[in-house]
Amino acid sequence: MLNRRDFLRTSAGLAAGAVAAGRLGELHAAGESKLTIAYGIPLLTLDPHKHDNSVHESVLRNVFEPLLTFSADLQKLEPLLCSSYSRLNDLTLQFKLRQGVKFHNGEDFDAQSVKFTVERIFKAETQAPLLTTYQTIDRVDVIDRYTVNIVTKKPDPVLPRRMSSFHMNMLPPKYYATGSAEELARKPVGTGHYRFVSWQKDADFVMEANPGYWGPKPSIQKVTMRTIRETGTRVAALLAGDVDIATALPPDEIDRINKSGKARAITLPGNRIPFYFLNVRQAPFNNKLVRQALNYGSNMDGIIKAVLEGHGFRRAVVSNPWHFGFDPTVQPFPYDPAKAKALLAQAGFSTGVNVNMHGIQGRYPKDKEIAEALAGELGKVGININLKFWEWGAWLEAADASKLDGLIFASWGNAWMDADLTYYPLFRSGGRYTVKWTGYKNADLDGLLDEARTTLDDGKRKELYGKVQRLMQDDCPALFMHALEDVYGVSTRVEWKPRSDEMVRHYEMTLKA
Amino acid sequence: MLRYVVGRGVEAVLVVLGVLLLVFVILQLTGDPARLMLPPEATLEDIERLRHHMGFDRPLPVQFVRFLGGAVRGDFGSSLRYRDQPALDVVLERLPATFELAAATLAWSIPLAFLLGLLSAVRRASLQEGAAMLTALLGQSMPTFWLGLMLILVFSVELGWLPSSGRGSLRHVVLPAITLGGFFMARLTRLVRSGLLDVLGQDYVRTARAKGLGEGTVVARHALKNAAIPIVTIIGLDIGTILGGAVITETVFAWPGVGRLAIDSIAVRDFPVVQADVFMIAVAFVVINLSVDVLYTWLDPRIRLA
Repeated sequence: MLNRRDFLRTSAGLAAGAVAAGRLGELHAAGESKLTIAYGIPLLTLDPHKHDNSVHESVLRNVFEPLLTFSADLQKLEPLLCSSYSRLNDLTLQFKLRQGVKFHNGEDFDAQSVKFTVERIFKAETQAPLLTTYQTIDRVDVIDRYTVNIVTKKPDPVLPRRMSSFHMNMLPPKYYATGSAEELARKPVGTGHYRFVSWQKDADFVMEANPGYWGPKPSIQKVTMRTIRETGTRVAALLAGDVDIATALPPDEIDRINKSGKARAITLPGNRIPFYFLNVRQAPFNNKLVRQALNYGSNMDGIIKAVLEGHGFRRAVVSNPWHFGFDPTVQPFPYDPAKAKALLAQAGFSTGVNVNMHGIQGRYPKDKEIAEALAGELGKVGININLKFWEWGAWLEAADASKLDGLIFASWGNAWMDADLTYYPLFRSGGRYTVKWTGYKNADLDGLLDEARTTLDDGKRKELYGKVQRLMQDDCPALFMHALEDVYGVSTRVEWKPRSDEMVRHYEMTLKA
Repeated sequence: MLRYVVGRGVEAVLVVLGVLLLVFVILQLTGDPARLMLPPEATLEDIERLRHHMGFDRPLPVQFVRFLGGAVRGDFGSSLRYRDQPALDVVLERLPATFELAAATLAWSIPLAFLLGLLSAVRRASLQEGAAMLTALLGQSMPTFWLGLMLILVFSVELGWLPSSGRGSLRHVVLPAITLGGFFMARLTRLVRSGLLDVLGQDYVRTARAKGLGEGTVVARHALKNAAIPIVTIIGLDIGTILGGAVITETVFAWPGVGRLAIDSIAVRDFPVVQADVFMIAVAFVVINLSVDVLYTWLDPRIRLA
């Protein structure tokens, strides 16, 4: 032990000089309000049209703004860069733009900015990663300097939601038309509360309050987004006071953070829902009764309690309560092993079935343990699971090549909070997942989804998605599970209330005196 | 002498070329990058569009010629993960961080290893030897990952002396350098010790002592220089490892170096960056080994004639 102490002392001595030097630097900067937020995933590009995940969107949404944004409860859309919007006809949405808004580089925000932004998504050289989502848009018509019409090819009820996020952040045309792709990937210019200061890859992204912001100015002057991959380090950095907020923490860390006295853990239901697709091309999952038996026998509530220690939220199908179209009358499957066995017997498998289950590990909290618990529970009702774990890339490749049978892991986020963007891509025949992964095809479901996709009446759409969810539950094209829990570690000196959409709004944070 | 150095130089260039070919072939076997670039929410059309844009739908020989043509001009193409950014730049901008960490690591671990190794070889069966060997044992047996987290807990969370992660001031590099150098220092200590012990038993050392030289001169001029060849070799190899393989330390301390970049790029099959990264590391290895080869000629004049 003596040696270990010596070792520590030596290192301490080595550090002492550097410590003294560094502290002076900190005192100097104590005048302005600063905040550092740790994320587990690195930023890859700062071009808002080219990223594809919520961490990028979360950081960039402090620099950029879309025309519309979600209310705090994620239930409705509110104007942001527009003062109002209305539907002129089935195909046309008219936006009256907010006036007097300037981009960080001095360009004015007006109808040309909207036209430029939307059209840039469709340009071949932009290579927008989720282009398919925007392909309902036909054109953008500039009516006058502050009025713009967005015209769709078919009636698109989701269009207002599409205008709220992911790639619909408004861009200054001059800057984004003339800058080199490399420059635009490194230096974002928007209208948001914060403007870009610096970025070092895999390290710090620094932004400062925009003095010319059109609305209420943020209270914190300087915000740093730091990439810290290792969860243990993210928590240590929070407890050491090096960062003020740590995102994407596993539930295991909640106690340690709350007991530290230096920070608290804030938890809330997350937007992402993991589940297992069922490959219905082969037996036994080509039989609806077996698919139902699987859902009755999974004991998902027990698994959430035992494996996740309650840090998961049971979902009936693949909708969260804040999604448009969510039907609260569709209740999750109860745990009913007797019924599961009876259904199996009715399907002609009274001696049980053997199936493969393709899971992943290390991406979501306890994903491996949940898969193992599921295999155990299902074995009890006669569904004998042969569990295989995949590396993320290999799993995607095998599934896309239709090489996986049985149960196939999947997880779904939905940035637009609308049932269309869950059920259509996942279960409508002809899409990536039905064609390549599962072979699922249900004409009734296709009809409902097609109708809902072009129905503008909200009440009618809700009804259709109610039917979709009931059909999901009856036909069971998947093993339904739960939503993840989002866990944020927040320093006691910061006041902030996160939302379930994974967006970290720096301008809603304040520091305690 | 000149012929020796030139010969080694030509070999070095061939090695780098060989590495480039190998990397291209191996990467082609690992799978399709396009689908990994996109989230699960992407459709098949989205994936096909990206695949075409990146040129992965062209025949392999065409891709290979394109790759070689670019590589000789230092152009590895654009990174797939870091959209629109040249792969070589993505690697080059991490080099300062990597060099900083490597320099800090070597700056403490080499002198300490020599000190401990010398002490334990010269003062056999003393308290110093026991202490030095125990330090070496600890350094070699503590997993890097664990050591890093422990240092963070003690010096950042408990004592609050040093930052837990990130790169910035000189203070930031202290804990990563200790973590990264622990194993290296321990192994080098053992090597210095065993090398010296070997040499100290030789006849010429006895002769040096017999002609009345002081122990310090004997150790420094006669023993150490003769024990140096394996030590210099290992230091050379380890510097290469420290430059390219500090993945765990970089991950634990959120240090933006090339090691972590390589792993991330491999995970999503970012071919251009993997190629540029491997190229840089291969060049570093080759340059260091070339220097070591040249150093041999000074340490052991016989090698010049070989």
